[in-house]
Amino acid sequence: MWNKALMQTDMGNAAYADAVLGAGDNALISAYLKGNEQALEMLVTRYRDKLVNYINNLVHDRDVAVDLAQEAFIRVYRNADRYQGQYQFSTWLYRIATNLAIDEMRRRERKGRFFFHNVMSLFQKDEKVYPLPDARQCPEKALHQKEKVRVLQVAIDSLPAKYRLPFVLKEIQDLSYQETGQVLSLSLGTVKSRIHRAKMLLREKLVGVL
Amino acid sequence: MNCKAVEKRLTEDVRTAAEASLQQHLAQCRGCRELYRQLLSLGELSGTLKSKVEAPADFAARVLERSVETRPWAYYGKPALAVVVLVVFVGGFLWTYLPPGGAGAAPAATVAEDRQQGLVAESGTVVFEVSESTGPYVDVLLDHPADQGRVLRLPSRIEIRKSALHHDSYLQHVSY
Repeated sequence: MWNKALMQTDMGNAAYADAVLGAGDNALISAYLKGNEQALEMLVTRYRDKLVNYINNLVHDRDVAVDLAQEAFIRVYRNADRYQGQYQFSTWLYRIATNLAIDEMRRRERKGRFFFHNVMSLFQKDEKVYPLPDARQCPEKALHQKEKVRVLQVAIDSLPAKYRLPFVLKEIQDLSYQETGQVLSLSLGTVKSRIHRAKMLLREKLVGVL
Repeated sequence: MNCKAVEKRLTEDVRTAAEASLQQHLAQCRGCRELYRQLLSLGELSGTLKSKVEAPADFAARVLERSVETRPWAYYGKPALAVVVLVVFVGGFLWTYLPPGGAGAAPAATVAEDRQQGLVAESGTVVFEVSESTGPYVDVLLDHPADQGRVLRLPSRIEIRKSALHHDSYLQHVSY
């Protein structure tokens, strides 16, 4: 529906479609605010997979991740006129998505059916480490790649949220340190420090896996 | 460069291992070499989580659909309606049952006194409202010989209509 061919058909202007497809995020937001709804549609197409993947890495439920990602875009749609442009669009989008994911994790915790071990860290200043079973007894060769990924995911989930969120944003979503700080409202130094701590904790938890 | 500084540099960006100063340290330090290897492995493994799931094909269309469903008036419509209904209900209740002066039993009044105040019209419809009433009710002391000593409890706001046919008064409407 929102592909380039349709844009050409609807608008009768291939050059315009190319310009929109190649435009930066801020240019697309500006175009949307001037009445071009397809500009926002292009942003959805541009970020949908990244956002679904990001939220899924936090909530581990694809359907919920899709739903929350859609909600994030709807909030963008509803509040686009408030976007100031001092941050990148992606930063704003990730911030909305992060808040939605945190709300979802808290909601699950309240309902008592959340499977993260450390969701309470959202409410506490928790320095506690939640170790995995000692993997050193498993021969490294016996751990297949899929199993390694699963173990890594469990280890990431066991990190306190204040380390997990920066790690996921920086190392999995490929945001820069600066963008990660903007998403989480943290200083650059704090982000670096927390990611350093996250990696060192993961290193301890993943002995025999890494 | 000491191990702590190397650790900090490598966790910040593992690619800095290519720098000459770090290369020199790594060549001499087994612990930092192991850290470097583990960080490389962690980065590689984390990379597999980058595209673990994808959005469904109809994702964008669904966003558009939901955004139409949740335009401000649709999004806030139900809560706003609920607030309006609540305000009307509570306001009506307070207006009816809590007149200025606070709640409590209404002072007793008699029909005779009310007539003296001219509140009951000789014909047509008037609203009878006891100005001294501080509660939802007013007790009217009946002064007819047949009802001597009886008290009629009425809402503090009532409507009385004078019947032209029978030349008597009757309650037309109770306002609560």
